[in-house]
Amino acid sequence: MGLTSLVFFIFLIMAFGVYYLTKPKYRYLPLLLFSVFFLFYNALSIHNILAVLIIFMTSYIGGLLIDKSKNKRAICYLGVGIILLELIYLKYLNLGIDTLNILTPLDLKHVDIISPLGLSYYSLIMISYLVSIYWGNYHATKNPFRLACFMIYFPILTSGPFIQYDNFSKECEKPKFNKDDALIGIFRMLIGLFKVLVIYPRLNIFISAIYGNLASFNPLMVFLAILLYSLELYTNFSGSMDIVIGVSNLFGIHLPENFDNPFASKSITEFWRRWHITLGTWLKNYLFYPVLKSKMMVNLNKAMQKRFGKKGRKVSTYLALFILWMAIGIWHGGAYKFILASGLLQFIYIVIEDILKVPNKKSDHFDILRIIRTYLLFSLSMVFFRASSVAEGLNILGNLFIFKGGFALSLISLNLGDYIIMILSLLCLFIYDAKRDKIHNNYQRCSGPLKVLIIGSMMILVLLLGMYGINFHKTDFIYGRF
Amino acid sequence: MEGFRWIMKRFIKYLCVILFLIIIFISLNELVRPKYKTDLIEGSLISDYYNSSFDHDVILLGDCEVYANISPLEMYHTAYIKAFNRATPQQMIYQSYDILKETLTYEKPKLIILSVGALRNGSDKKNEAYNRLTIDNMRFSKNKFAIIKDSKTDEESYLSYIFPILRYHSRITSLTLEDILYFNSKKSISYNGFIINKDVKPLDNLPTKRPLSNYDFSKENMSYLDKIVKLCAKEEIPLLLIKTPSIYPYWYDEYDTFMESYAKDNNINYLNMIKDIDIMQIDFNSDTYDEGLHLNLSGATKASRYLAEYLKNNYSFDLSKSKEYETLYDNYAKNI
Repeated sequence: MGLTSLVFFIFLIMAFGVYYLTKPKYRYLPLLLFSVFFLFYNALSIHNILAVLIIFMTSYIGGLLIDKSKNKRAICYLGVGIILLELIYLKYLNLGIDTLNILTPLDLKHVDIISPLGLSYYSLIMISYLVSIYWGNYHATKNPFRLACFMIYFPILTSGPFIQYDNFSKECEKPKFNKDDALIGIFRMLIGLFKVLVIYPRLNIFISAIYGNLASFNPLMVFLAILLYSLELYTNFSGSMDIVIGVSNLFGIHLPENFDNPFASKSITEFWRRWHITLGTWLKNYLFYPVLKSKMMVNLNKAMQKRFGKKGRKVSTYLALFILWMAIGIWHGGAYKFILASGLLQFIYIVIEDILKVPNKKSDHFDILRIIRTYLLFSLSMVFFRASSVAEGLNILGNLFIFKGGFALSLISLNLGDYIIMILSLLCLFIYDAKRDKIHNNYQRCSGPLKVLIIGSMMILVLLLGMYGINFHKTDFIYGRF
Repeated sequence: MEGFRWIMKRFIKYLCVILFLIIIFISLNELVRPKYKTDLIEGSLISDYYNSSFDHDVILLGDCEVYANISPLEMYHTAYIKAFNRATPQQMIYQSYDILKETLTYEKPKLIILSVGALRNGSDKKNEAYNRLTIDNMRFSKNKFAIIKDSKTDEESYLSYIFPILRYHSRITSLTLEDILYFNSKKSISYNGFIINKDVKPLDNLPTKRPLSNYDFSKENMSYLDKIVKLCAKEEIPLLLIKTPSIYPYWYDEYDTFMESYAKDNNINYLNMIKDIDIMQIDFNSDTYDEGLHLNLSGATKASRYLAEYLKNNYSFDLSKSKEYETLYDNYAKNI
């Protein structure tokens, strides 16, 4: 059930109705019911039910045992281990097979496994649930339905954001219908729909035409496609995030923001603080700091400091960072291209920036150049993300230096109107991103009729300019794959 | 009183905003909808009927074999028969049924003529492009909803027939002058549902007659034919089944035998005009615009005259001159 499909909106209206017809105290129950329906819609199989049940039972029983048992650490490790094993088996088995085939003379075949919807998301949030109980941040819940609702809360199943149990539980306590929340929710959903249906498909058509026919395009066009792919990824991912946050607002549950105007970043370090914020925060809290504070790292730190002085301290930090970025790379998909694009290359950029003290530069009139540099570096790394393999990524980059082909606009199935819409929409997107909070505040201050006018106009705009329907492929959420 | 005034003021503000949005939405629907006035004009056939007087003696139903081959105004000129052609591109039998039901809400003709050529069409002939040409310009009524339900393919959405913007929104970047000039235009493009085509493309190679494994019409088609028969009987309107002239060997003898028997069983008339091609003096070297599949103006004139004579001899109509039809014919005569 795609977030932009008519079925989803019918489903949403039904969920909304049933939710607010239920007593506030028990509203998590219809939410759970609809989430189960969403999770298994078109994918009801024993395999999927088992995958969800194993993680749920591990987390529920594990959480209660950690709370009560004296051997908290062992139970926590066991619970996290089970969840990770399932995640690795369902998502990364083929990556392991590829690695074995490269490193050994074995010739193992890929296993045909389809990972269930939202597996990466609910695996990680349930790990954080167990670890947070182990750390004593909060107590385990005795209410299995509430925990299940947290685990498979339907708006976050397709592409996040990562949420924390304590925050979610507070939001679910006694949610009341709030007209302002609902209206800002609809506004956010429409912004998301605009990004996903108006901007993203046009960028996708432009980029796919070039990437699919590199020999016909000159290096300038290939470069343009490389630059625009970052925006394609962003409009798709941040658009789905806007829809998700908007949908959740309708239920009175506030989700954390996942983007904060990333393309205004002056360094890659800053960029990753603004891009997929909740994943970054999760990995920082549950991977980076635990690794950095581990006994092995502390010992390594001491040894390095002894040998290289103050600079030696950096070794353990870089090592923890390396593990963090590898995890981000692996999380994005079971393929080397993802590990390279969103892992290794980002790690290299950040280490270089740290050595050159790039993020510490004070704001001045060279900011615009720093923003361009950041955008360029990110876009170049995303070549591998878009390519089908590392080799193809290298081939695309190689095409930047092969002077052949032309502009070949006839091979791109967009007309002048589409280009105008694309450019104007991107301008609007940049303005919205830069002034998001101000725009939201101004919107909330508008009178009722004006709000209706804004929402109605946006609906019409999306219906008119969107690329959807019988001639178009259903919009595929890129981050839904991860 | 103050409170009431405040509520009214607020209510009026909301009402104005909602009305404004509805007007914009309707206008945009109209803007992006194909106009079918200069290109794919067959899409306007269905709506040309709404410009007529709803006072016809004969209504014809069918597909391109009818709107290309039978000219109602030539029938008038021949025998003062006042007919209107409600044929549309690839009109399926279930569409003929829905269009007949719609017609009966406007008028009660003295005869319904149904072309049976479409009985051959299987469900594989369901096609969005043809559906659009038949349905897009149909007036809103319960019959429009019925025809959408009966016609739409699995990939199509019901709503897109009600709100054209859902289907044609991509046209916003490729609008033409036609979309502006014919915005909400009711202009007729046909002559009582007949499209003039003066081109001549003689028959070159006649396709070979391939035997079929099964000559039965589909159950769905037959059930709709039964519905048409029942509806006409209920309304006490005689029904005439016809097969329009064509040289292509696609109307098999088995079909013809079946239709003769069906007509006899249901006490209705069946006229296979293919058998009388020689009597009509149709020459497929000069009377066709697409190598014998459809007739051009010259061929259609001959077929229409023949049909008019047949109706005159077999049915009783008011065969007097009509002021309205005289004007329509004069206009038609100027263009033929």
